[in-house]
Amino acid sequence: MSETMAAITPKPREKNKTILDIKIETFFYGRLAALRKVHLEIPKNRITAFIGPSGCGKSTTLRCLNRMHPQNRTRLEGQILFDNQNLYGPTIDPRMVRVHIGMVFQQPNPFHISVFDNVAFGLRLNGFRGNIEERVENALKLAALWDDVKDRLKDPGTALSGGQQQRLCIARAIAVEPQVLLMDEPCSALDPISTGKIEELILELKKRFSIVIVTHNLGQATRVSDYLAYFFVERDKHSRFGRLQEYGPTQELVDHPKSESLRSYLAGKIG
Amino acid sequence: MTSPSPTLSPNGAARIDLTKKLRWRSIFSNSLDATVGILTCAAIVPLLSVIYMVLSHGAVHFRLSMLWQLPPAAGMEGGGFGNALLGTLILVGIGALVSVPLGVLTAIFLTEYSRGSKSARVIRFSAKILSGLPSILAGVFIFGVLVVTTKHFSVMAGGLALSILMLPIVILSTEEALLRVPHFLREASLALGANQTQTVLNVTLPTAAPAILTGVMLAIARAAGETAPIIFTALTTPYWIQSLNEPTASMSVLIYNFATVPYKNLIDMAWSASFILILIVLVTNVISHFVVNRSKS
Repeated sequence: MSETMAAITPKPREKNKTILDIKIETFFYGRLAALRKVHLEIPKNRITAFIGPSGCGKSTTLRCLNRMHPQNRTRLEGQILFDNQNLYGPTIDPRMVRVHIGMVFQQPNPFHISVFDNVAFGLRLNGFRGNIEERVENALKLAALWDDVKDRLKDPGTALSGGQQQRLCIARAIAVEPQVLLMDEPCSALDPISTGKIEELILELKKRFSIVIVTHNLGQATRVSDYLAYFFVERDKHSRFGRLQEYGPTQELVDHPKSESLRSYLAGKIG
Repeated sequence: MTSPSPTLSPNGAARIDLTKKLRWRSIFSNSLDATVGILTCAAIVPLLSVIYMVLSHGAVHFRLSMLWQLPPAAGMEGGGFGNALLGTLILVGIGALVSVPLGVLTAIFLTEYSRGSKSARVIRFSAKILSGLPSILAGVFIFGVLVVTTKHFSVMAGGLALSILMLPIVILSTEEALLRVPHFLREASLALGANQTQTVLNVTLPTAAPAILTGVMLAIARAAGETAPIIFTALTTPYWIQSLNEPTASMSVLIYNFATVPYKNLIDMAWSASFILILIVLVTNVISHFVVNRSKS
């Protein structure tokens, strides 16, 4: 009953600014097309989740957003607009892209240096002139890690627990104050309790950052995200490639999947 | 269908016999265990007997003053091998000074800048061949290039001969150390806006440093004991070293010379020098081990 009500009541469309306007026509890895037709707009200060079965190109798309793919072996046809600039324009320095669009990886990957130096790494790298201590403290507080590590800032970052290491990596990424935070399955190497903490943190972080998260965990995607992008593998005569199948507000997509493949994905029939 | 259940014999006893001894299998297993044990003992017998020989002959005749005195003239008592000890330290120092920067930079090129490329494969293959180079050939090579052209034996030539032997060890061990740095650490650095050089200097090298150090120590330990390339290049002298353009005494050549003379005190001194040489190698290894463990914790 309530479900049908929700279905017929038109939801007020959220008016959001777009932070990333993605128009990937084709993305080549070597000579192989890995992605085709990925068009979507990432809204500002919202959480967008990329979901889909393995090999559907969600991580590949995520890595296009901060130009993490090796330049000499990949090629992107199309454009990604960030603040009215094409990230793949000829004059763009990928390093500057990565400063403004931060990334958190699947495997917690703190450097073998102290907790403090880990967070300060990006600041020092980019010649930050200002109060480093303050920025590090703020980043650690924002990552909900300050209380855990304030007495052990000199300990190596690798000595922390898995969940703490991942929050350290988040602190390290947000210390340079990027606009966008990309997260590539940030919880898949963590236990359920740490995962819960990271999810809370992600929800907290969206006030300050626009977040794109790739996840294998459908529950996580529906818990944290405002928008869902569902990717699917397609095959033609020669190859298989990833494609964006459906995109929209999370609730809408979960309640009313348009395509058969998303319906089976939501039902757990394909993973 | 009244036939008895297949797992039970007619009288109801279990048909699965868990008490059966697998006699032949255990005999085979035990004899293999014994063989492995015996062969392991056989392998460490040479090592232990060498150490025992050096200790029993070398340590008993060792006097602390040997470390800073000159060798005695034939038939004279006392003296030491101070000049040889200093000579070996300088020779190995020059070898390390040349081979470590060159080797580490080559390894960085192989792993960070040209991984999988054709030039990387050629360089790696050359390093592997060089690591199998008979040490006397390194001596002959420097003899031809430096000693013949400058017309005198020198410490410099000796150090360079050692660096040829150390270079492949440093290249290959550093390359392995760098390859063992997980890829996700490099990615983390790149994702923060670092370029390749910043990533190598701030992340890859520091992470691999302990393992690189182990390789360098291995190279030093190998070079410290070399004799053949030194005879061709640094020769030897009974005096203290005055400049890098002169011949120098060295531990290994001193051992070679004194072990073959008919004077007992010199033979004893060769044993003592062997004892100190082994001690140097041991100490370098222990130091590198200590540093590596400290950085791991």
